This record gives sequence, structure tokens and C-alpha cells, in this order.
Amino acid sequence: MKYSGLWFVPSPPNTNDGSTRAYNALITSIESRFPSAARLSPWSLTHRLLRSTPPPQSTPTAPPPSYHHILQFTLLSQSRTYCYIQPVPPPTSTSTSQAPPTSAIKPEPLSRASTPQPHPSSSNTNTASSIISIPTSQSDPHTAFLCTQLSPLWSFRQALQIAGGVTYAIGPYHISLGEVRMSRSGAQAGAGAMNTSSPGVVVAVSILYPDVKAEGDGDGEVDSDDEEGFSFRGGGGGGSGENGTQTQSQTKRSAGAGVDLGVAEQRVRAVWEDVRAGLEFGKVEVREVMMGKEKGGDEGEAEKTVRMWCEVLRLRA
Amino acid sequence: MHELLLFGQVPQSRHEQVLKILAGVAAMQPRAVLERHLVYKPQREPEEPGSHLRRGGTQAIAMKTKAPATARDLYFSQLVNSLTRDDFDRDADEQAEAFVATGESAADAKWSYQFHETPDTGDRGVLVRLAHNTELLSGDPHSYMVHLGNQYVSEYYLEGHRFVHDNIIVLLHRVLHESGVRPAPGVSPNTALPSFDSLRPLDPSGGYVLEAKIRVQDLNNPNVLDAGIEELKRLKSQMKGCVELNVPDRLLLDTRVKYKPNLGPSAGARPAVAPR
Repeated sequence: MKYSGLWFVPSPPNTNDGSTRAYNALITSIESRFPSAARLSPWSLTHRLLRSTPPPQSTPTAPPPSYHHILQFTLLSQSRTYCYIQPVPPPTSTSTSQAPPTSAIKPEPLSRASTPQPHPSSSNTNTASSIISIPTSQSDPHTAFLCTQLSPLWSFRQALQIAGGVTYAIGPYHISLGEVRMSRSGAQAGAGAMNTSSPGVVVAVSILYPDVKAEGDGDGEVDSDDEEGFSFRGGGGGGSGENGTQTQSQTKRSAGAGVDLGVAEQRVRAVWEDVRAGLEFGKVEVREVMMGKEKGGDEGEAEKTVRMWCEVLRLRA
Repeated sequence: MHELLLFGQVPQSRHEQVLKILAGVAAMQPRAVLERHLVYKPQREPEEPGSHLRRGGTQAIAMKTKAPATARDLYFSQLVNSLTRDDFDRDADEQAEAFVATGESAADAKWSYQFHETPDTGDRGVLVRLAHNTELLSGDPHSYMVHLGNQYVSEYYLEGHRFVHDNIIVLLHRVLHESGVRPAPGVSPNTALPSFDSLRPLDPSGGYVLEAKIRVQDLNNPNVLDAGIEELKRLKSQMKGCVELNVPDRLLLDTRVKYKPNLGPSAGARPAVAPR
């Protein structure tokens, strides 16, 4: 089982290579702090975002748009592309975790008519999202089809790509970094028409519990992490300061037998604080998204990863 | 991807004979096909035709001059679940599980999203239409369709046999449905399948439809298009005397959502439009 947190470091405005500098600074920081870090095989990611088109006679109080993400992520799967439809974007505060979806066979109807504003993240809104996966070979035709034949419903918004992502393995932690490139080639994720500007750098920190399934008992594994001599500052007390993210974990902290995901979240955050200590990214606000904490099997974990990445890669659309 | 199509009709009495003839022509045993088609239409109602022309411009100065928006049509689309005869005999829980897409690759995916556009105008001797098919490997297909902006309308079952003869896919099939069941619009489809014996043919005479299809990736290549049309015409002459293959009226295969003018409360039940 793997629990992850994701941070997006936007590149400072008015700089050409701000994100490259941040990326290189992070890599240097990791390699200097953890000389035993092993570099794993590279990964890549392609993300396309479509936004729902409002009806032609939309009034000023039209319902907020929903987003259709198409994510191809080699760390998740080589042959599948995930399509994730997100009904209402949660409020863009600094750290919000995604509202838990319903994976029931009969989904509830979207209840958005009465409230133009989405609910604050502390209350679990009933907006069910939907994730499917399609073969990667069909992802380009599917995107083109959505943009042309279903153009009254969906319009293309942005395409992002992370080409040479790296992953470091440090004990039970995996740190993955990648520089995001925005593509202006329209509905196709063409490698040729790449823009040189980069919106920023994405850092994902994951903690692995290899012997733990989603419902298993992982207490033994959790203790052994500290024995390996990895000490991260701010492991215990750092979590309580950020109440924004803890609203989700408060309800799920004692989620029965198994890994305490609240502790996992604190550890993951401690790793990030350690990695970015002393680095200056300029006048930017780092965006943090944590994985959802609801229970699920292996498929549920893939879905939580998809949701987490799509939330970050939505940027400012 | 585009499809070149020819259709023919086979009465029930000749079904066995035509099946054997096709097996001889295609030099292969027929492959049984059993599919459940769920029909969806967009939740949004289509605009009145011509209303986009009457809509004026704004007085905003800083707007880029956009091309006048053409009225884009809204289309019906389908979810197709390929089934076997055994799936009808499973109990309700297993059938509910099967309602979720599974599959490792496109080849063994059971669910797919199918879209057909209205066939093109013009007389080339065959029907030409744009078709799109995406296999779903995981997730809840119905929930995806609903979030895509569609609502469930109805369903039907397709039962038949498929042959492949050179580039032509020949499908000898008929449509079955649960008689008497009229689902209210907007509800979700039943996960439990009805018993196979309760399905009745949509055509009371029990006739079958023969569909000969060639899939063309790109219509811009005239050589490929002509070769496809030639091949279909050859099949037509080969099957002459057995089955008459011809081009039906293209509007019979129109998948657009029709505009329904709002005639007031006496217009009858309109489908409930779920707020987006």
C-alpha cells in the first residue's frame, strides 16, 4: 500500500527558467541530504483537461463548470489512460483533499442546482466523481472525439506533459519529481509543438507499506521506519498546525485496523519539509494536495492517485 | 474512424440458410454475438434550430471577433456491453459486479462506448458515417456517461453472428428487448439482466438484419475509400439472389437529438433535465 502527498511549486512569474532552477535545486537537495538514495527508472505523464461548456443561454448564475481530466501516467500503468470527471472544483485554498467519491453502482444525481458556490471542504459534499480507464492507444482519438463531436458539452482547456520524471527511493519513501511543460498543440498531446514555458515543478512523496493491503494490519511496518535511522523534522507536531487538511483526516484518523493514514500523512509532509528546507522558490505559493483517506482496494488506490494528480494539474483553469 | 455500410433484410425462415451461405463465403464459422446496448442522450436540450443566427453580438469592445457560433448538434451515444449466454443465468450479485468495467486490454474489455454520427449525404453507392468506439477498462461506465453530461434513455439487446470476409465485417443480427418495460427517463439501468427467454424481438416477425461494414481510418485518402466501396459492391453482387444489400435512407440512422419546441404544459411528459 502506498500513501502519497503531492506538492506543486509554481514557477515564479516573469522568469524563463524559474522552474528549471527549482527542479535542479530540489534534486541537488535530495542527493546531498540522502546520499544513499537510489534512482529508479524514469516516468512520464500526459494530462489533458477539458472543461464543460455552459449552455448557450447561460445566465450569470450558471452552475460552476465540471472538469474532465485525461491522465496517462506511467507510474500507474503503462497501458491505461485514466479519464476522471470532476463535477465541481473544491475551493482553491492552499491545501484541500478531494471530497471522497461514491463508488456505488448507482450514482447519486449531481446536486448542484441550489448552490452556485461549492461547499467548504470541511463538509463532505455529495458531488460524486467518476473515473474510468481506457486503453492508452485510444486516448488520443477519444480526446479528439470529445472535443469535436461533443463540443457542445466539452471544450479543450490545457495540455500538460512531464517528460523526464525522476524517482528516488529512500528507505520506505519514494520521492518523484518532474518539470511540467505546457503544450499548446490543442487536443492532441503532440510532442512537437511544445511550449518553452513551464508552469512549475511537481514533487510527489510517497510512503510505502509493502506488506500492507488497504485493510491490513500494518503497525509493525510503521514502527520499523524509524529504526532505519531516517529522522525527519516536524514529524509529530507539524501536522496539527495545518487544520485545513486535517478536517478530512479527523473523521478518518481511526479507520480501524491498518495503517494510520494520519501518521502517514505527517511523515510524508515531514519528508517534504526536509527536502525543501533552505530552498527559495521565489514569491510563489506552493500548492499541496494529499491523497484521499477513504478505504479502498488496489483499484481504489489507483483512483485516489489519479484524483490527487488531477487536482494538482488543474492549475488555474 | 469512418464506416462504409450496406444493409439487407433476412426473414426468419431463411436465417439458417443465409447463415450457412455466409459461412461459406467468409470461409469461417460464425461467431456468436450478444450485446446489451444502453442508449444515452445529453441532458441538455438542443437549441431551437436557427436560434444561433438570431442571437446578436454584445457591446463589449474588448472582445475578440469570434466566428459566429455554428449550432452544434447533440447526439445520442451508446454503451455496449458484450455478453455471453451464461451471463443471463448468473445471480443478481454477480451481475451487479459485471456492471463495472474490467479488462486488461482492449481485446478483453466487455464495455465500450460507441458513438455514431448521422451518415453523410451524397450517393457513393454505400452509406458513409463517422463512428467512434472506445473500450472501457475500469470504472463504472454508467456513472461516467452521466458525468459526461448524458442521461439514460433506454436499452436493447443485439443477438446475432459475426463473420469477417477480407476487410468486411458482416453482422447478421436482430434486436431484442424486454417487452412492456418502459424505463422512466433519467434513471439508471438495471444491473440485473432479465432472463434471456423473456426478451422478445423488436420486429415481431422475427426478421434479421444483415450489416456489411468496412472501417476506414481516414476518409481523405480516395484510394482507400474507393477500394472499400468496390469491395462492398463486390459482396453485394456475390450475395445477389440470396440477400439484397442496399443503402437505406440516411435519416433512418440519424442519431441527432431532435429539438422539441416547448408547447406548454399540455405538450405531454418531457424528460426531466437533470441540473448540471
